[in-house]
Amino acid sequence: MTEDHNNRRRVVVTGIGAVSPLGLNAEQSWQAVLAGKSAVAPITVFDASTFPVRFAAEVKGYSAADHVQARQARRVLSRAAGFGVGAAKMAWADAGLGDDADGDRVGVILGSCLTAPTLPESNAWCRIHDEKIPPENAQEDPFGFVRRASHTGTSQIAAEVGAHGPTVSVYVACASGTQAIGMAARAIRRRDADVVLTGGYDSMISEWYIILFSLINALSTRNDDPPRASRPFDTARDGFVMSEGAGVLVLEELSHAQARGASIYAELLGYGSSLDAYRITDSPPDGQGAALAMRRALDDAGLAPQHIDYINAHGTSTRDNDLSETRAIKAVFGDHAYRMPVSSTKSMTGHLISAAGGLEAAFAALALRDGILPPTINLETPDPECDLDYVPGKARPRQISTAMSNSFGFGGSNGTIILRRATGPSAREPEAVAP
Amino acid sequence: MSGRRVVVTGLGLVTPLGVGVEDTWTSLVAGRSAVTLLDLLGDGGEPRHLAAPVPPFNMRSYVPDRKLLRVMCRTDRFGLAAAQMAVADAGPVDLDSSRKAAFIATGKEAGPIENLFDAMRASRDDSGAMTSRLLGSQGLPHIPPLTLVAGLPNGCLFAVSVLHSINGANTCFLGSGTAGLVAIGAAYQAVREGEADWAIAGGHDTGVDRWSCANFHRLGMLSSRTHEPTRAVRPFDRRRDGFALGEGAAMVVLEERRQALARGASVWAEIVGYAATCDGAGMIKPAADGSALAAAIAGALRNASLQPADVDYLNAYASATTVGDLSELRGLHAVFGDSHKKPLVSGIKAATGHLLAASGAAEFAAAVLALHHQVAPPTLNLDEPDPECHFDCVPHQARPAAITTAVTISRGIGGQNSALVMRRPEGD
Repeated sequence: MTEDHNNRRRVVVTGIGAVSPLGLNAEQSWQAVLAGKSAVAPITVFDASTFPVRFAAEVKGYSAADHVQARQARRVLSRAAGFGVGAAKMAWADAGLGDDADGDRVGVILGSCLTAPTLPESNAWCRIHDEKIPPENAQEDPFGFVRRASHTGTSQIAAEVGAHGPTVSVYVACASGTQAIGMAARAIRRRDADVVLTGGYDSMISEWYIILFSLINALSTRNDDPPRASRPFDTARDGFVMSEGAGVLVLEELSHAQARGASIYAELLGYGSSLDAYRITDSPPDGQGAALAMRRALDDAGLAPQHIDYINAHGTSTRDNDLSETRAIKAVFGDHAYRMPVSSTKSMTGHLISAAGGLEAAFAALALRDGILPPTINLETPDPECDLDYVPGKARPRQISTAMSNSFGFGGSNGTIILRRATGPSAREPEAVAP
Repeated sequence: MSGRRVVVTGLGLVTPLGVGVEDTWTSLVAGRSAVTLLDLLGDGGEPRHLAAPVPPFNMRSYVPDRKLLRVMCRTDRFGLAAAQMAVADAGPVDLDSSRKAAFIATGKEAGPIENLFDAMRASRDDSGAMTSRLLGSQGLPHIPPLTLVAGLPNGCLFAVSVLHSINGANTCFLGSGTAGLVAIGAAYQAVREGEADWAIAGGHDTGVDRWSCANFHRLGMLSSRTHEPTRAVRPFDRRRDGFALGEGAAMVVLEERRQALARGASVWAEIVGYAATCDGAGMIKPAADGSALAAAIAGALRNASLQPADVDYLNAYASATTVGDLSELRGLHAVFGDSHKKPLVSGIKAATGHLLAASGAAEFAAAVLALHHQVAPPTLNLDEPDPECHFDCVPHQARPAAITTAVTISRGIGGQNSALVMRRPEGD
C-alpha cells in the first residue's frame, strides 16, 4: 500500500546524515549515544576563561572541505552551514541517491539561524559606526553578509545535490529542525516533491551567543564538571548546554523509494505543530502547547496514545522545560506515560538549537532500526515531579514499533513527529548492538 | 487531500507608501514613489542614500501593551501593526484556538547591533582589537540582558500568537525576498489540507539602515541613481541599475471558504494554486534562464487547473537589477510567450522600494487589490523596456483592467522562486 489511512502518499526515511559533537557521521554519533558518552567539555573555539559559562559540546575534527569541493562555495559557508552541507551529502549518499535523481522533484527544507559576527567583524562595525564611515565605503569581506545569513547553507545544499524543488529556511528557535521535517513530509504528501532533504544545522558556540544565552540564565553554569552539566529531569539540573552540528534526513515518497530499491529506516507517520501563546522564553507550567503538538501529531498519524512505544524528549535540562514536558506527556498519554520510555539525548549531545530536531529524529529512526533506546545520562536524583521512565544511565535493548520526537522553541513554537519502524525486505538491517 | 477552498478575508499593510491598505493602494495607483534620499548615518549630514522608509505612525494605537512592545524591534512592530489591521479587517471568528494558524516570514535574524556597541568598546585591548577575555570581564555588564530575546527572529510570530490566541499550526520563515510569499503559500496549504480553518500569514522586514545598505551595496544590487530618487528604481527598463531598500510588512488572513461565507465575512479573493522551486545554483551564481521560475508559475497554474492564457494580471518580482529582471523576463516568456493572450505584468518596487522578506507578502496584497479594484497598478519609470520584455508592463500609469485571475511571483537570493494564483471571489 503506497497510501495511508487517509489516502495520502506515504513518506519514509531513506537516508540519514549527521555531524555532531559525538561523531562526524550518523553511525559514529549513534554509537557514542548508545555508549552513554557526553560530548560536553571546556570551550576551545574561543577563549571563554572570563565567561559565566565556559563549556559546550563542540564538533571536533570536522572539515567542510571533505564534503564541498569548490573552494568558492566554501567561502560563503559558515561553520554551521559547513556542518549542514556535510550532513546533507552524507544523507544523500546513504539513501543511495546520486547525480541521476530528478532534481525537479527534490526539495530542501531545513532549520537554521544567523551566524553571529566574529569579534573582528563586530569591532569593525563598531568603528564604522563611531567613525561615521558611509555604507558604500565600509570595507568588509564581500561574502561576510552572505556567509552569516541563515539561508546560505540551505541554498548551497540545493546546489550540491541539484535540487530544483521547494527550498525553504525555517526558524522557530529550538523547534526549527522538527518543524522543517514536518513541512518536508507535507510537501511530499501533497506531491510538491518526491524527495526532500530536511532537518537542520546550527552553531551557536560563539562569543556573542554564549554570552547572550548566559544573560537570560538559560545555560547550565556547572563549569567545574561539564560532562555532568546536561542532566535532563534530574533535581540538580540548572540549564541547557550549548552544542552545534547538523542532522539531515532524506524523506522520500514510499513508492519512489521502492521503485529504486532503497532501504528504509522508518516511515514518517505524523507531524503536529502548535503555539504556546504564553511567554516568549518560558513554557506554560502545564505544558498545554507541548501537549497540543503531540496530540496533533497523533491525529495526523491516526494513532492512539497507547500506540507510541518511545519518546525522544525535548529534554533540555532547564528547570522549566523538563517539568512542563513531563506534565504534557502525562496529559496526553495518561497511564501509558508510565509504561513508555522517554529519554533525552541532549544529556549527551547538548542542545543543537536549530539542528536539534534533525539529529534527534535521526536518533529516533536509528532506535527503531536497531531496537535499542538511547539513555538519559546524568539522571542521578530524579526531580520528584519528573517521575517517568527516562531510561537513566544506560542504553536499553527494546524492540519498538513507533517513536515520537519532540521539540519546543523560544517564542512558543512547538513541533512533534512520529516515526514507525520499517518492516519487510526493504527495511534497514540493524547495525548497532547494545553496549 | 480534501481540497478545501481558501479565501482571503483580511489584509493589513505597513509600507513606505502608507500605513494601512487604503493609503498604500491610493498612492500605488496614483503613481507615487516612496523612494527618497536619507541620511543613513544619522549624523545630520547630507541625505544621500536611496531608501524607502515607512512613514512614522503610532504603534501604541495598534498594540497598547507596553511590556510586549519592549521586546519588539522595528521590523517586528511593522509586522504586528499589519497583523492587527488584517485581523480587524477579517472580523471576529468563533474558533477553537488550535484551529488558528500563523505563518510569518522575516528578514530579522537578530536584534539591532547598536545595542552591543558599548560592550564592544569596553572589550578592546591596547591594540584596539576586541578580545573574548575582555568581552567576558569588561564588556558583559554593558550588554542589555534582553538582547537575545528582543533579537528572536520569531518574535513577531510569538506576539501575534499571544494577541490573537493562536495555538495551532505555525512556522517562521527566514531567508530571502521570497519568504513572505512562502509564508502565505504555507498558510494556504494548511487551510486547504484541513490543518487549520483560519490563518494569519505574511512577512515583515526592514532594510532602511546603514548595515543593509552596506550589504546590498557590496553585492552590487542597489541603484546608484541618487540624483533622481523617485526615478531611480526602473524595473524592466533598459537603464535599470538596481533597487532601493525599503521596509514594512504585509499580513493577510486566510480562511476556509464555507466558514468565511457562513459568518458573512467579505472576501477579497480566493487562492487557487501555489508552487515553489529553486534554481539550485547556490548563493553567488544566479541562474540566467529563469527556468525554475517558469516551473514555479507552471506548477501553481497546474495546481489551479488553469492555463497561462487564463491569467489576466501578473504582479512581478521586478527588483530592477540587471541580471534579476532579465532572468525573470525569460522565465515569464517561457510560460506565457506562446499563449494567445498574455497577462498584464507590473512590478511595484519602483514605488515601494524592496521590502525584502516582506516583499512577497506586500506584492501578494497588491495583486489582491488589483483583483478587487479591477485596476492594474503601474510599473513606474519604465521608459524604454528591455529588448527581452515581451509584455505590456503597464508603464507609468495605473490602468483599469478586467482581472479575474491574477498571479503573484516572488524570488530571492539563493535562487528561490514561488508563484501563487488567485481569483475573484465567487458568491454562493
